[in-house]
Amino acid sequence: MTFQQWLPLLVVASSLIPGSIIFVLGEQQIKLRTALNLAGAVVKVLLVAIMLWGVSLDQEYQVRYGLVEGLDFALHADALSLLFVSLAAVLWLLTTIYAIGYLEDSPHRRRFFGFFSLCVTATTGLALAGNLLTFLIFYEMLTLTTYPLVIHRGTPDSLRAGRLYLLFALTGGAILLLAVVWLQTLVGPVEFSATGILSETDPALYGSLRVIFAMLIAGFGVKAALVPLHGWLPQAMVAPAPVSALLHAVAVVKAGAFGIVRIVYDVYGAEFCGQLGVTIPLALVAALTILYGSMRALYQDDLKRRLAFSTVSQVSYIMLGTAIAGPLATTGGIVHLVHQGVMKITLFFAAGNLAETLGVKKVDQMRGSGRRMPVTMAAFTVAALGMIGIPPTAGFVSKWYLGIGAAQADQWWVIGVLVASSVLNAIYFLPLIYAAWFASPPDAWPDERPRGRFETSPALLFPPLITAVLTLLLGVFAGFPFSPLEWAKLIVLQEYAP
Amino acid sequence: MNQILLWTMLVLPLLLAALVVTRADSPILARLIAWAAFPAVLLALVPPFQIEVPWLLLDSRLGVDAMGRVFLGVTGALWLAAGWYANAYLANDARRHVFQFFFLLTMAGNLGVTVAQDGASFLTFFTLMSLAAYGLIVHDHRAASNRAGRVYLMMTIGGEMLLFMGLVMAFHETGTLVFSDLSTKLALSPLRDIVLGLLLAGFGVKLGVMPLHGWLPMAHPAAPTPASAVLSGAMIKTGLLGCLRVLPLGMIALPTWSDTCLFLGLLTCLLAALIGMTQRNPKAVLAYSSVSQMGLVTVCLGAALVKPQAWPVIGSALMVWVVHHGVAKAALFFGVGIAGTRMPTTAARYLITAGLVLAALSLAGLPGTMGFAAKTALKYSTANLESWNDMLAWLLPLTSVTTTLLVSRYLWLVWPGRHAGHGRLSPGMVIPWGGLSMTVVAGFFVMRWQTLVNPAWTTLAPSDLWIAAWPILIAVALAGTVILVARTLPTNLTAMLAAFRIPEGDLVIPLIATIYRLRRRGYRVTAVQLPQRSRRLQHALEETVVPRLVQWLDRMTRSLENDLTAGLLLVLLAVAMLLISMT
Repeated sequence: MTFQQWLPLLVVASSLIPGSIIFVLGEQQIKLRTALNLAGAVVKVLLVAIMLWGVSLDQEYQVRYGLVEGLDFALHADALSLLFVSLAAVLWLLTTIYAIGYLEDSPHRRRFFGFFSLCVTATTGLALAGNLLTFLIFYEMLTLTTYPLVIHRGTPDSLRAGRLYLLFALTGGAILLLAVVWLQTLVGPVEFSATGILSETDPALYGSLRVIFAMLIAGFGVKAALVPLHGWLPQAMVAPAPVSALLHAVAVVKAGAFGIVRIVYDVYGAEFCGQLGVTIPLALVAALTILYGSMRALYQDDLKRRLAFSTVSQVSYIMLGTAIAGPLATTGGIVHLVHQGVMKITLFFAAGNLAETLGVKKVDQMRGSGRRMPVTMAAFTVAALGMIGIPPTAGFVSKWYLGIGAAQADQWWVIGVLVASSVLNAIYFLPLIYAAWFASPPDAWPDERPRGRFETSPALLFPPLITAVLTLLLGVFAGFPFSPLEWAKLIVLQEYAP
Repeated sequence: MNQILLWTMLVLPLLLAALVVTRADSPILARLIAWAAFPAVLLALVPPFQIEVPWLLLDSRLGVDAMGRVFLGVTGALWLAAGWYANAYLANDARRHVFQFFFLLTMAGNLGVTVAQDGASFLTFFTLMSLAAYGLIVHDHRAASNRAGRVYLMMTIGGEMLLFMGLVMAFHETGTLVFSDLSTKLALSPLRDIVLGLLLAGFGVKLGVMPLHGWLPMAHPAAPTPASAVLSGAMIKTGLLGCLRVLPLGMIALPTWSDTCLFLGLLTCLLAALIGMTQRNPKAVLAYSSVSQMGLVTVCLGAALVKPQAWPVIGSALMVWVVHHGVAKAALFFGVGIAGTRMPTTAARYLITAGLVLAALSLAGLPGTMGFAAKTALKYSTANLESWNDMLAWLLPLTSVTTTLLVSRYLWLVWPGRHAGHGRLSPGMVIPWGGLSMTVVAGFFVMRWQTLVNPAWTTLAPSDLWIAAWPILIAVALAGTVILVARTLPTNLTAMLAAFRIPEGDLVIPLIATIYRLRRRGYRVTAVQLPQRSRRLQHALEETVVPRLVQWLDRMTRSLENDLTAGLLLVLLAVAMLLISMT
């Protein structure tokens, strides 16, 4: 095997191996575990960087074995998978640092970090999957590895949330499996390829293809939290903050969204989707989700729950961009895959810091938190402004491309949806920012635990700071080479190649 | 070299803002902050240039052009003056550094707007300025300030959304965000009227054109005096700059929007002056005066959309307005802070009173001040407006009368010596104020020298003098009469009249009340009723549907659990095997 074949495997293995070893280690071998975790995360970032460089120079990274006759296990690095895998690698590194600080001195850390690494393995795997079958394998693996993380605390609440999550995710998975099998029987093995593989299909099959499309969207929609399949997500926020952060930014929710992107562009093909007439219904569902999520977020007084509903809304920007189709909207949707991740992880990190350091979990307890924890709340503020889509944050770039993409595709109503969503985002984020900075702090915080000489321990402080700075940089330097925006444009060039 | 100056101007305030956060109490820093706007003043003096910055935002263009230069110069000078003034004004404020932080961010945004040559960077700086100004408005945390801040934020976000929609559509229609291309191509677009409507409304919020003016009279009294000065003097003009950037001025006539601008401009000018006269806070009076004056600016815009061939004249008239109003209004706001202090000597009191009267009368168009040039320019701009001619012929002089009445009201409220002063009259406040007050006159003579301003606007011909003077004389006579009559009226009648007041922000007050009522209702529905209903549904599922389903499945499986079923299955199996072996 050549290096080109090894590299995708190594990227997956860089979290699989540490994860597996952690299970073997003792609970108390903290130093070794931490070292393994961080080493794995750093190696993954480096490997992805090499791959990124290679792909930009038109290198091919691919590995493939036959499982059984006609079914291949294939990992392949194309521009789209690299976008997702870079996001996952960078945010995994930050979240690992954060989790080490967050879980200091709590029980069952071996289990936690073990599954945490496996969860990232699944995410990288599905990012690099070269065909639908491989994607499905990792997708199911993701469901199973995140379950222990959701119920990590073991409280009745988290057990209930975990059950709900399994119920939704497994049902979705089953539908997905059915759809994949059906599709394979119709057209043979489904390889991902830019511009899709179905456009040559016999028109007699169009009916079945539409049904399969609906099933695929439903299957992925469960994880992507499309209304009405979003029910598990707000419940799952009982998980520890680093889990929620990764869950909402990269792993689970994004896996669903990424799946939908793959289906629309690399299986069906954007133009063929338009021909089948399935894009408008998808756009409508996404728009509904955007508005519904924001409406529900308005009146949540639990901070993480509010953020969870905000995720429901924001992730659907990706689907909206995907469904509108047309190069500009696609750029907006794909770039939001990264932007939403960076912004949302900042918000969850900040929420975790508030809960861990001050015991602040409710929205109305946030008064004056900016004076007690200025760095955390500054990060929160930047990310929240990004969610609203205020320039020059990353969120603005996404919103802008979705907006001009909608105009390009003559879907003017979408601009209205974007504006309505921005206003709703402003209504539920600005009061938090106001409370944090302009209201006076209470006499005593609900449960204050000072950590070190900074406002909280460095491991909790730096990850949100870094992602907040990224939120700004991704917006301000959107036109820089290798920025997600430029990369998304590259992907779009391939997807819409003649 | 010019580029370095440009970047310094943009980055310096941001850098200082970052420093304020880390070392708030440094006296050197305070002095630096006062000078933060200085590069802007320098940049206004360099010849026009433009740079392409593809990596910044969405392919940015930054630069100085003929129009932007005027805005840049005034904006820079006012921020410089406000920086000095603020240092003295807030010397004893414990939360001075908070003010400085927002002051610097707002400054960065405001200066950036004047050099932004494309939609995305314009919107970015515009937003930075608008959001950071919130921190200035709520600085003192009084209930009224917080309310003003809320209204301001709501309207600002609303304006942002309009601009976003407008720019998205404009980009789609023209394929560019670079203003010089955008405005030209937009003129030919079929969606022109909608796009321009969105953009004009978005910028109109900042400009304070009725009915979008609600935030202005609330925010100005709320903000500390140096902030009100730049808010009125420099920031609301970015709304005008925005309009100038996107409108296809001098190219085509746009009857829809010209009529709207002329109508709303005149309405704003007269109505705001009338409402302003009922105000008791001198800063609220000035705020309404700003609204009223921006009405006149809107009239000029409207005129340019009626007769594009007159754009060169109207354009330079607008520049005169920007300079005149910026300087005079900032001087008047600074004056509020100065008039309220304890005067050390009678001579000082007279001098300060004289300065205040001068700035006030400049606003009214006193010959020999920049206000005179502005008023003459307005007259030239609105000449020959076809169907509007008759109406403008008597409405424009009327606006002069109302403006004079309004500034009289201001002078009446701040007249030094009428109230016991508090605080010391510090040179840090007097120097910037004095400088601006003198510029009111000096500027007029500078305008006379240079070629950009039509010489006819600055000649002091006797006929022009009389035209400029009579509305002022009428207004002064009226104001005097009112004061005399008020003295003779029975006290209960004056009390009744005094009870008749229009709250700062007029129409926006009931509107906000309605919004809050709707929000409460929304809360009841989504946070109380919907969850209740969904709980009931869940309950019903768990209590009835699921058990029944389980029972049914149970019965089904149980009915299969007997020997007969098993036997039948065996027979079936045997038959199947037989069939297979036979084929």
